[in-house]
Amino acid sequence: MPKHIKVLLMLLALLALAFAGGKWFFTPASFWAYGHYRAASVDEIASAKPKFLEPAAFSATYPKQYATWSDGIHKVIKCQDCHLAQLDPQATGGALPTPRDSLKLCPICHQRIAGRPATQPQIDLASHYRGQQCVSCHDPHSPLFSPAGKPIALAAAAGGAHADVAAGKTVSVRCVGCHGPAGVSVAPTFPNLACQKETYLVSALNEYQAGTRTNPVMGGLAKALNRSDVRNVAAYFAGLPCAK
Amino acid sequence: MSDRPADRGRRGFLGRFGKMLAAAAALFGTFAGTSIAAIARAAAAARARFPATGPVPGYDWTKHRWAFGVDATKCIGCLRCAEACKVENKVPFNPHEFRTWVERYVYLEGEEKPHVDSQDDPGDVAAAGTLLNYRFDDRYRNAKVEKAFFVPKLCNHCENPPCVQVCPVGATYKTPDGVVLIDKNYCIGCRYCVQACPYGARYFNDQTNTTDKCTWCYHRITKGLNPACVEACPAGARIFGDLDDPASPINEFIRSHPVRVLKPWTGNGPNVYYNGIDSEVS
Repeated sequence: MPKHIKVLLMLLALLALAFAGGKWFFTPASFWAYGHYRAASVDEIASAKPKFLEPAAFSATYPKQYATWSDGIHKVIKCQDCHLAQLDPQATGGALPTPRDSLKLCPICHQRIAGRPATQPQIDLASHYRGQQCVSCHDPHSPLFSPAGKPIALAAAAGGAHADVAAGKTVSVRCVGCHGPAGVSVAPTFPNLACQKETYLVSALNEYQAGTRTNPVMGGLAKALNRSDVRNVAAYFAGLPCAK
Repeated sequence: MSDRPADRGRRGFLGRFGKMLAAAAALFGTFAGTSIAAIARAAAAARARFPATGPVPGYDWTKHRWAFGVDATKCIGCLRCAEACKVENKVPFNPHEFRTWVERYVYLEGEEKPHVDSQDDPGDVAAAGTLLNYRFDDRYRNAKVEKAFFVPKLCNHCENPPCVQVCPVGATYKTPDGVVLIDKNYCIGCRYCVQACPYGARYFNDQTNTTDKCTWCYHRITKGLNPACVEACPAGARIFGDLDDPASPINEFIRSHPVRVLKPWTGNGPNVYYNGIDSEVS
């Protein structure tokens, strides 16, 4: 065999050896254990610590908020959905950041935009809050209640004011023909309103307005009332002394 | 070279060429055989060090077949999933790198094709006003919208993942429990897989210089938890579970909804099942 062919063959053999040696040396020990990958990498991935935690993980740090949340409609969302959590709770010792601007936060889910399913409660930003922070009327942990824990229908719907009993008396002139000037009805077919529960009166009027409860007289009368009328007149009748 | 007549001509040349070919084949065969045997021995040794139930202690990966469900009729487009995912998986907080994202499909009256945007759309980034939060803007406020819905998206963890096929180094693979993972310490950052994925589910993480994508929160599901996005979703639009468990939420979801998968004709066999989308979504 000519010399240059021999040299060429030896060179090829050397390359093949280098390749085989490299393959042997550089292949990680756990490669091929289950397939064409490093088996050790699976546990490297699986051993990471969860950071988005169950709300129960924060119940000890925030017992009051946890109790309110557990009881309310917002139970479907988790602490870190709103207490944004670019901060790792494990790094901050279980403390959650407080969202500063509820006007920015709440509309993320509740602004009326195209594409949201009708079942999602949505508000028109321009007309609903009129510039107030959402949390001035709604407890963010249980938004159907006010921060003071009152049902939202009775809580300050507009600007945090209490129900205006005097204004309620003015509204009540539409009611007294049947329910009586002192809230004690004029006929057995009409209920007394005096010292009736305020919440019940509001919800009854709201049902007439929505049409979920029907009555030829009450339906029309209730629909003529706005939200603060309802609140005020309910407070007025609830405050009258009970029938003897 | 000899001058004998037998050595000259076609017959002589073919004879010598054949002999050389045989010798080369024998040499190569020995070499290849030795190498294959060596690899097989190494594999056997590696196998011996790992249990048949998988490399994660306390978790048997032969006992699960994970799958994901998306109910687009429930999604409210709040993007809590996308943010939770970023926190959970150390995804860089910028609008262009995502393991999971949400698309908005809007059909305007009189138009056949939908308008599609996602949280990385400039209008939506501007509405958020920060790179740390995401939200959809109200651009269709004055438009006549005929139909609109949100579609959460993520890695489909395909049965025949094309991303795994193209990886030149074995840095991405499919586990027996149905999850496609990336070995960050072995990835060379060539981005072939980013190109290969027909769903755009992979992105290149320029902090780690490796490809990254959804793992269905493998570190959570192996501990019996749900993926972070499923946990974060307030609307129940994301469903996760084990196809091998008849009582699992994913089986319940697939049984009770007319589900479809994205781009079924690619033959990838995606494992994310969608309800409430139309054929424009892919």
